[in-house]
Amino acid sequence: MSESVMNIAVVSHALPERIALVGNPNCGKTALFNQLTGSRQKVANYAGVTVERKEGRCEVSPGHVIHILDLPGAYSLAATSLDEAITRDICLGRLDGEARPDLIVCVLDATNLRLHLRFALELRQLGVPMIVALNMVDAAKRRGILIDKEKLQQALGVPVVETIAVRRGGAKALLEQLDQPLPYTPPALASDIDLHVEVRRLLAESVLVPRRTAAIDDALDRWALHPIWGFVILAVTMFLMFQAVFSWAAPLMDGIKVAIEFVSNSLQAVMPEGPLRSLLIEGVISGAGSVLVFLPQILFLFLFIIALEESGYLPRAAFLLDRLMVSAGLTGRSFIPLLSGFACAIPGIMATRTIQDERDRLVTILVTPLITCSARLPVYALLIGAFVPAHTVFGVFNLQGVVLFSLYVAGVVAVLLVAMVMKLMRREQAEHTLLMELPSYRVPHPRDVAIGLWERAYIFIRRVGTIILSLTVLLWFLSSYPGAPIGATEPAIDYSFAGRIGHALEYIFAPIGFNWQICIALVPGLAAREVAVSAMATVYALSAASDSAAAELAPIISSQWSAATALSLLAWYVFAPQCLSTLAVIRRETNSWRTMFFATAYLFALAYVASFITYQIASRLL
Amino acid sequence: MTINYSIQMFIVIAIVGISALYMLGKLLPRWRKNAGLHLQLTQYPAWVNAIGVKWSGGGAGCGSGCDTCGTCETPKKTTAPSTTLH
Repeated sequence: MSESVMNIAVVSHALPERIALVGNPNCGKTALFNQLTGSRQKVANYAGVTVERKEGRCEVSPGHVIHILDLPGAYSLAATSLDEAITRDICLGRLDGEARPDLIVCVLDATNLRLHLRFALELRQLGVPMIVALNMVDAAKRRGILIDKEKLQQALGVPVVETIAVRRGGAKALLEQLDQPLPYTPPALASDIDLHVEVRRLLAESVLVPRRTAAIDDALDRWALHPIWGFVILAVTMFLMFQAVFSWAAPLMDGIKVAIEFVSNSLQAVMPEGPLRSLLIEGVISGAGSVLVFLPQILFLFLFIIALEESGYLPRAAFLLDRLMVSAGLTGRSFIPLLSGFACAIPGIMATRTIQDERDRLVTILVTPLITCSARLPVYALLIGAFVPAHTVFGVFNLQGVVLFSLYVAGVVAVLLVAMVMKLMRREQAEHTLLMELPSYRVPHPRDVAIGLWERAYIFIRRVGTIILSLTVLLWFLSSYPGAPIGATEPAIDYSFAGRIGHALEYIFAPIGFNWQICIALVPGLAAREVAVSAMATVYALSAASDSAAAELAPIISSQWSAATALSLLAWYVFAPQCLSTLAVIRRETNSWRTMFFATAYLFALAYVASFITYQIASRLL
Repeated sequence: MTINYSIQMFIVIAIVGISALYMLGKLLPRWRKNAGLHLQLTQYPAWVNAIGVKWSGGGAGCGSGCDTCGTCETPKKTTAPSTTLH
């Protein structure tokens, strides 16, 4: 043992009951947590995925159950952001209502020990029993990194186990260690020791790193991080992604449409006329079914996003876009929250906790709702499918895919422009350097991709079966009652509650080209954006003269709306805060009603102005 | 009004009522929690208590109306000063 180490070992025979997984960002803590607990928390190949503590249970042997905490990644116990502070406070036993873990499992990335060992040494100073989990040992071996586990264990003074968190059974050694009595409390280092020097000593004693370890990464990065080719690669990747969303999903979507039509026709054949039949066919099947059709497109979009996350390419994209983001008034750290916003603005806003500067964090929170979330995809896909022909442009590209790509780009441009305006309004113009770890490239693991896709499918189907279904049922009720009076000349829906609300709102939205049916759809669409599609399907189904006319929404709107109205609605959905949950999270994360109302007001104003301009120009040109 | 129509109407009212309660619970999580606690009173039958337990449990998405992102745990404000241990 080193001379710099003081022996303060304490013997314990107790089994661990409460452990915490701690380590630098992107070392595989969450993947390990998923292995140990059978959980399915999100994992990705970049730092900052976990921003809160997660708790799970694991039965390591019959009768021995341990509680496992998965903590946000931290580079040091001297926390600089909210997520790092959570890790620090739990490790120090300072968080109210949170017992201090009786064992720390320090997870280290075996391919990057130079960085990760420093935090391990810092954790050792806490005086809590500790195990080191040497994760990604398979990747380290592939790169020729030779780690002498016994020597490292001896030098660190704590048990060291090897793990491969992404492989089934890759946590076996850790599980065996967790079933042993608590290890000795690790000896503390002298207070004046330089941790960097100590890391170098540990590496020299126990690790052999070949000179060309990162040769493949370097070769790939020469292209991926090139100031010109890097942008070309990024643009082509994103473009192909949206092409695939439209082209590959079409056969699967047709299959779902056929299944929905079959169910609808079968119900029509067996059920007698009445309110229940109307609710099921015009409400549930027309409404919720019209949203379910978009499941394949959402899955293809996430297939690409998850594969890019897993590969390690996304932090490179953040690095490329850093200069652009800083010039627009954002920080490089805004990239991950904004990226999360493509799935849903809520985790995106929560991910802003990794931004240290309060003003930068606020700007990122305010612009994140402008990123095109997956809930907008059904609305975009419906309108594009109805108004943009499926032509091929330049011989290879699908025109619908090009338009979808443009809408996503419009969201990103809106983020940059709004951030730029907010930068002009800021008094303090502090600039923060982006310090971001670029992980090694790796081939996406099929299991993680499959878990990610399953999660997205589950989330989407559950939304369709809960929020969207409930709102569709309520909208059907409001669109069906009260019925038309005797001698009425208009369709019955005109006399219903929803019809009256739609006609009243039409006064506000007529200048941007919205008819009363769209106005009705905007109201329940505030609870969840996709509901706008189901709401329009229900409204048009109830307005239709026959059941066959209510079969599909796209042909109905393409025959009843002008192209200017469709473009105006697309512009509305690029900007409008059509999601109450997002606004509630803004309120919670900023602890300010004022900020929430400001976000709501500016997003609605932006949406109205953009739709007005779009409609006025398009109605003159088209 | 035929029997068939009456039965259909009864089922429709039930479905609409459940949907309305569900959305109220989503959009008003504090009301949902209080209602859940009320339903757990011993004066109600066991099945009502069971609904109460379910309702008073973790609100949808930290009171946001959303519980789909998997990160919906209420953050605890950390006020402890930062510590440098080296």
